[in-house]
Amino acid sequence: MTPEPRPPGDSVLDREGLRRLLERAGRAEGARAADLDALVDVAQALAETPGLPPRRRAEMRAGLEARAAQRLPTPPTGQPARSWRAFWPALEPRGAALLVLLLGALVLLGAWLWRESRDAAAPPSPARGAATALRDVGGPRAVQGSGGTGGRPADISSRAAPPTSEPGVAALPGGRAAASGATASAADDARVRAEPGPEDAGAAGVPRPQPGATAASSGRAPEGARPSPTLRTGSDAPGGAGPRRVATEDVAVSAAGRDEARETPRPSDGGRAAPIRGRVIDERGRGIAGALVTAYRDGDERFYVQRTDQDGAFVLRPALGRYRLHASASGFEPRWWAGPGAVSEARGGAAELDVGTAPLRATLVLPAAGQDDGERSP
Amino acid sequence: MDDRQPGGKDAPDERAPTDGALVRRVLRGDPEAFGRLFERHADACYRFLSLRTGDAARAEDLVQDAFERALDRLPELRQPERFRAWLMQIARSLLARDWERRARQAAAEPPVSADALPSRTEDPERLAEPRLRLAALRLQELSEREQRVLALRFGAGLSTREAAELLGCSESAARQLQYRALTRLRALVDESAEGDDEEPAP
Repeated sequence: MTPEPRPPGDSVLDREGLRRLLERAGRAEGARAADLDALVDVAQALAETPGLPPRRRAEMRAGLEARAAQRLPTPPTGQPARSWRAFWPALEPRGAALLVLLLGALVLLGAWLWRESRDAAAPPSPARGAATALRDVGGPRAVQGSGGTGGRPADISSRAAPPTSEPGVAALPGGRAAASGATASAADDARVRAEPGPEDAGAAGVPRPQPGATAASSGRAPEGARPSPTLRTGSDAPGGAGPRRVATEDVAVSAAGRDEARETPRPSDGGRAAPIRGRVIDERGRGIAGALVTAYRDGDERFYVQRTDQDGAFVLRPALGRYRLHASASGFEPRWWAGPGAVSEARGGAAELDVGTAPLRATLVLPAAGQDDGERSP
Repeated sequence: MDDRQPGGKDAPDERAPTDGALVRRVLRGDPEAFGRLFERHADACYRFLSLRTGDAARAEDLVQDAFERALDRLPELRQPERFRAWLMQIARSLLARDWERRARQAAAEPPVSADALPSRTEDPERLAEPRLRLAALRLQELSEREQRVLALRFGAGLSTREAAELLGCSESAARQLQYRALTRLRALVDESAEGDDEEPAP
């Protein structure tokens, strides 16, 4: 096989060029012209060393081409295969940096889109906040509601609802949420006092409950069932109140201090409502920290949740309406507010709080867990 | 596409694809392009190895090994235009390994004989050039570095810069090394020629 022509600049010895090069190198040693010619002759002799024998060359080429056909990627018909390595030199370094930046931007964009779609699908709903609250309260003592039919398991939905300007308050569907738990009568050790006005009468010396004094039940508690309010947004609230979104971050914290900063009653549902202030205390009058206080509005599916602070105080800012107040805490029996100085074990015995422009105060006294049965035992 | 000159003349062809173009074609799966790279650089590789080993058969085997390894590692070649220098690096590495293997076999390198050197049997007139064979013979008596620079420059046909890179020195140092090596080799060749002349005629 005939050798291919050498590409320009290949090793066909350039005698003149080599001579100049040797002259420059041997200048310091005083190389003579005759010496330089002799050196070029020697170099020429080396350069003329015979090449690969033709027969061996043909064998090698055939073998190497066969090996190449086996080892190299086979391009699909009509479309040459391309190795990414062939493109890589063209990419680096500026192209590679650009590629990395592009990929990073795509990742960020993807993350943003994912977050947006997640938020759109499941906005921070009262259900989530309430669920958080329920988890924080923990265990069977968590305040639960049951939607209208009563006794239904808690339905924590995440339907979309527009935001409200009232963080720290959760809207409760289920004005007819039934309280339960209870086989006991309304007259028990719990004492509640709710009275308009700035002063809190405290827990000591609270008068005995007055069963049925102001209670107006809108729902019936299934006997033996734990209170389980249906936690839903207001989007399906009857009464045309419209969808509401409830900020939930305050629900899970003891936020009385924060709420104090928002004293001003907020307009809601077309009116200005004053807050419900109060305390949750034990039978000795000591505040119960971390108790969960829930106001259930009659006539629709809304509720408002708040935790008590270290002193057992809470501030609820529900919209205008009539509410039933429920409190629960770990280690205590849950109770409904049943009027000034009274509590009820069942929702049926709960009294309504008319939330309007005048501030309200309510104190709920929770008996320690396990005491009721003993006391009620004949 | 065949860019060979009619009659196989050893003249440069401006239309011939560069080494880089051939390498890219090989990487795209064209085995014929590797055959052309072989045709283009086989002689240079063979000259380099035959000058370094002084053994034609061994040089042939090493040429085959060098091209096979080049094929295997072709995707790692970052500068396809410098295929020849890269190939010589592979050949040098194989040669060093070959020497190590032979050293382990405790077999001393046999002295180079004139018969072992490559010869152009197809061109008997070449055999009449004693200086050519003498230069190749006495090359083995130079230092390792001197042999390498001469084999790279005049056997493999690399430029001084390419040879300097493979030698791991500057270009000017390679030039000086080349000058000294040629001077010494010339002295050895002259010495041999004088010895032959002094032999009494039978």
